[in-house]
Amino acid sequence: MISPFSSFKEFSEAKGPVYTFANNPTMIAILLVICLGITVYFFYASFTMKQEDSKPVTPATLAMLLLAGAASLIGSLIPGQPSRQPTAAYRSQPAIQRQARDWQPLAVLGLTGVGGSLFGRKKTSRRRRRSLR
Amino acid sequence: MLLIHAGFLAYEGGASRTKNVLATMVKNLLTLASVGLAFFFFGWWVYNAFPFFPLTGGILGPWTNPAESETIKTAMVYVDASYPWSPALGPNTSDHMTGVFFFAFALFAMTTASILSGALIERVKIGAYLILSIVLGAFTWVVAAAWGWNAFGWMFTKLGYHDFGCSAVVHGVSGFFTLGVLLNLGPRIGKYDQNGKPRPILPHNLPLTMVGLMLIFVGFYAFLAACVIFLPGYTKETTIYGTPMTLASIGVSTTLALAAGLVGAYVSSKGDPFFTISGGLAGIISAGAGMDLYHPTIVIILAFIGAFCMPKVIIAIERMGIDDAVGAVGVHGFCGLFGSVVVGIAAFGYPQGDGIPSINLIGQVISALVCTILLGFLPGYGSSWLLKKFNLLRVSREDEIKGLDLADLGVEGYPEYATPSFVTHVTTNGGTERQSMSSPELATE
Repeated sequence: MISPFSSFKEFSEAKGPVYTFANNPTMIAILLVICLGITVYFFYASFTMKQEDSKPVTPATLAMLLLAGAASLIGSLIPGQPSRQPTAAYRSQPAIQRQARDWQPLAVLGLTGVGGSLFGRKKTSRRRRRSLR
Repeated sequence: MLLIHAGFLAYEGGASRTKNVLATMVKNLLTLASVGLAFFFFGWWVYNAFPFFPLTGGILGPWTNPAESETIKTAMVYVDASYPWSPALGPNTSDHMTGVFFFAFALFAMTTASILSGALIERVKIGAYLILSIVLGAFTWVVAAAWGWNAFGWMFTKLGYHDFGCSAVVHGVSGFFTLGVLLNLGPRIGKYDQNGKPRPILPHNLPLTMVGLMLIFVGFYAFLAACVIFLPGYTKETTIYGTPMTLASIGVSTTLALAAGLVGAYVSSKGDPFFTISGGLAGIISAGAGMDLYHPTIVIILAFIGAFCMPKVIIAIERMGIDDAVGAVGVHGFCGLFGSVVVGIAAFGYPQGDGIPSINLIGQVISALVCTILLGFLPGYGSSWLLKKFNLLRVSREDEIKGLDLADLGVEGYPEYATPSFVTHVTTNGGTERQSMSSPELATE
């Protein structure tokens, strides 16, 4: 039974749990599993959530994004024009130059991220316009 | 509980457009005045006088003989304390409780009317709204409370109706009353295109709306806590029906209903911000009627289901040509109906007093329909139909296009801001005439 009480006297004088299924721990366990399922699904869905009208990134778009990232990476590997800075001055900052080179792959990732966020921003904009009323 | 009204104020103000923000907020604010005074004049008496009418007795008043029965004699004590001229409502050293109950019920009444307020924004005449707020806030919901949220009420004593958190008594009544009014009021200009397809009318400040809902959440903890009765001389907390419960469990259940409601609406609406935050309220309303009895797991499941369905209901209503600006029918009407009916299943069989039926599905369904249809939809439709017949319901087309801030109040909510209408006015007309905005996608401003 959902109610653990059969009479009002029993209910009104109860000392202890008065909630539904208080005398049925198996049912509480089943309900708990359902609640856990809802919670897990919520976290899963939060990663896959998309509005109906938000177009997914097409293969062509993805290819262009990767191409742009690759081109940027290749560009960073090709030596640029010689610096007009005096050699002495150039040599005086070797540590700084090495440090900058170490950050280049991250910079590429950053560029890619900027591209990705632009796509995301478009989607968000469309979504907001449609959904608000 | 007054925070609920601060929340409604911000919620509605944010949901309106810039040209209507002040009028919207003033209209909501005046709810406190119209319902507060009307509740003092007759609403409080209605609650105490109507529990027996029409099934188990008549309307109680100065004409009633208390010697008719012991029950009438007991009830007449409350009736005598509810007249506007009653000594119980003023400073009185022999009565410390009547005023507390009056205050709590008056705030409940204002909440009920505020639910209506949001749905009608941007086109209802303020006088019409005030009349409707009195009909709803000081009469129809009070009758529902007298019948179903009162130890003497016939829905409780004859049908075993149980609605601890007022799911149908407050939310169901006001949601369906709103539906009846919206049918007569009609949609805002530009809400639907020539083919009847709905167009979004954007809130001018969605963050303000979201903050407003957060305030409503805070207030709802007090709202539900105010449903717990613990009087001098009591050894334990009870519901209004005299059944045992605990205040602590209301804190737990309200929190879980809020959380699960947010999840349900978030998943259902695919992350829509408006629906998601409304989901918290939908969850609380869906679980409110049996919150004194439910195990927390049942609260979570019911709040999730109610809030999950809520966006679908709101979208369906919008597609039917009903312009509910804040989704009041879906959040309050649907979830209130769902929450009160489902008690008959989720809390089936709980005993409620000697000679009073246990909680049952038939009693819940009949009583929920009485609340939503008889005391909600029909009075809402009827009173707004009358106002419409006398051309008192809706503002003129010119005023609606111009905006109610200027048309009604003569001032703008944001006089120093370059609003879209201001920019259009300056750039296209040389400052001579104000122009309304329109685009193929958005509704006209």
